[in-house]
Amino acid sequence: MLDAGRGDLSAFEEIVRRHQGWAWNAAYHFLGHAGEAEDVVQDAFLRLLDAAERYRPTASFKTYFNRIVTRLCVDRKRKRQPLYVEDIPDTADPAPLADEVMAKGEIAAAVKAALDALPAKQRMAVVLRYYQGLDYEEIAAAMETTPKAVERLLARGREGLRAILGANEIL
Amino acid sequence: MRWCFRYRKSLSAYLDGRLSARRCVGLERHLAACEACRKALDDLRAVGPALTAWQAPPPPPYMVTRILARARNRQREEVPRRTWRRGVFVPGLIRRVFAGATAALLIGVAAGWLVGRHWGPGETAIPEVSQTLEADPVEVYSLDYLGDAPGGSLADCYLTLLSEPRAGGD
Repeated sequence: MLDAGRGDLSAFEEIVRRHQGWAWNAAYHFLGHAGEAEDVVQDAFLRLLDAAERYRPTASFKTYFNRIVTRLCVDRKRKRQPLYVEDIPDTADPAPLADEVMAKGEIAAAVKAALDALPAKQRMAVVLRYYQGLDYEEIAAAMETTPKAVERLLARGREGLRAILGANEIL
Repeated sequence: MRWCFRYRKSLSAYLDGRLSARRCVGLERHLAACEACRKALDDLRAVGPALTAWQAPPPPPYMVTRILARARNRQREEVPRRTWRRGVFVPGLIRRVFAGATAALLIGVAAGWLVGRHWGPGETAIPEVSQTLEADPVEVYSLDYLGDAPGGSLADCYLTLLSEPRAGGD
């Protein structure tokens, strides 16, 4: 990261290759759309590059980067149009199979719709907990809040999902 | 039943092992007696496996390439964003602003010195108001063509109006 801050693009490339998987995972599960998730991941890495020269290794890199990804996802969600389950992108999807795979199975579609129904912060807490495997302290650091607030967000998020998935007879 | 509302709020934290030992004991005692809360806890437990049924596809194959291309373009377009001067970090933008402000200050000081030098002490670019008022209007405005006008004429009135009233008259 320090090398990337000095303009070393090969160091930056190493960072991208190492962390693109989980960044993509988090963005995709939060936004539910491949194109938007890729936009967020790209923006997150470029912001990381911009901030590289100011970066100080006082905290875990993953926590630091999680914070960037989280902020971008929540901002994107706020600005976004309503998501439709049968969303067809205007431009050609570079990974056409991705939406196909995603659409398979009623459970997957119901889960996606249930997550989309949650408020942004609850959704982010659930995504970071279940899809990223973060603990309360790590989620709190990524969302710039307290572990107690994360506990409340997860409790409400789970209750919301329980109600929606229960109504769809998924649970 | 009346405790269900209170204990339901703790179920999520209980699932994640975040409850204190004392609260765990109280909750578990309640769960042993309350079927509805046991069902609620089982449903919360089932949320996790249900969520994992929706998996993200692999990242787009050229996402890394696109990121690196944008990074390279950005690097090419950027002017050097920082300089180091005597080990002090001075961001590029602040350095440019500081240089501009210093240049403006120097130009202002030089201009002030030149102006002061040109007029000198006691000299002003604009004549004092009292000097203007004391000027002979006939000379200033070249009104000598009224010089042969008889006294008390319109010309006399005009000239009287132009000049400042002085003690003892003109």
